[in-house]
Amino acid sequence: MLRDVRDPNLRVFVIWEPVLITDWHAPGTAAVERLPDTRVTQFWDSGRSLSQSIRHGRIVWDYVALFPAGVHWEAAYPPPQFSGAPVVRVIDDFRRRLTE
Amino acid sequence: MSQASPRGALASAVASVAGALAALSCCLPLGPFLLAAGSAGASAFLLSLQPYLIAFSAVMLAAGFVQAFRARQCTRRRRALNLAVLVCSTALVAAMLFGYVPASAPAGQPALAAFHLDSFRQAFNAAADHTRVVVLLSPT
Repeated sequence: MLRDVRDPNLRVFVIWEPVLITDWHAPGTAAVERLPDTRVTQFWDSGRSLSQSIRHGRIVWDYVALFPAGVHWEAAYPPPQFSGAPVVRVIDDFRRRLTE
Repeated sequence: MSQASPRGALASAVASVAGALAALSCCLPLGPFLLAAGSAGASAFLLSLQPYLIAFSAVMLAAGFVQAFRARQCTRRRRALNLAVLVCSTALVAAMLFGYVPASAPAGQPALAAFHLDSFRQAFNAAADHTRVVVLLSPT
């Protein structure tokens, strides 16, 4: 999908987190290499702290959010312009918003 | 009591190696090859089975050791072969369990980093002049 977005200044933060019983360690190279775009930065959030920041008490995963330029994260996680989960279901809407 | 078959010890050891290799394939760059062949599903299948394959490897390794030590009718040559296979199996399983190698990021990307909320917030705000995308995923 990122191949369709030509904006070189786009920043993509990919946060891997343990959700399933099989997520017993950080993602291996095979997983990380699924996102071979230089605009991507990848993290391993073993404590699911970002998920807790987005929705306290719930696990947020297989989730994508879009923030336009100018949005700052102050005290709380800022409301995205668009967000959704699971990714496979929202990817078309997401792509449309991203390329608008 | 019947004596354990040396062939059984060898089979257990080979099964352990097979299990170890199958699990290890999730760490080694096998995924891209599978993806290149259009078999993304197969890679995900192996990743999701990784803990079970490792557990299976450990059990088979233990069984291999038990059978190797109980076998008394082995020829010296076969004992040496069993020992070699068991040593290789142990090394492989130990490497998987204790020698986890951090993922190497794709070319042009910073290395996979441990997530710290404050640092991430700073990085998010530092890129405030640009459109940003945040994605949360599970490794398997």
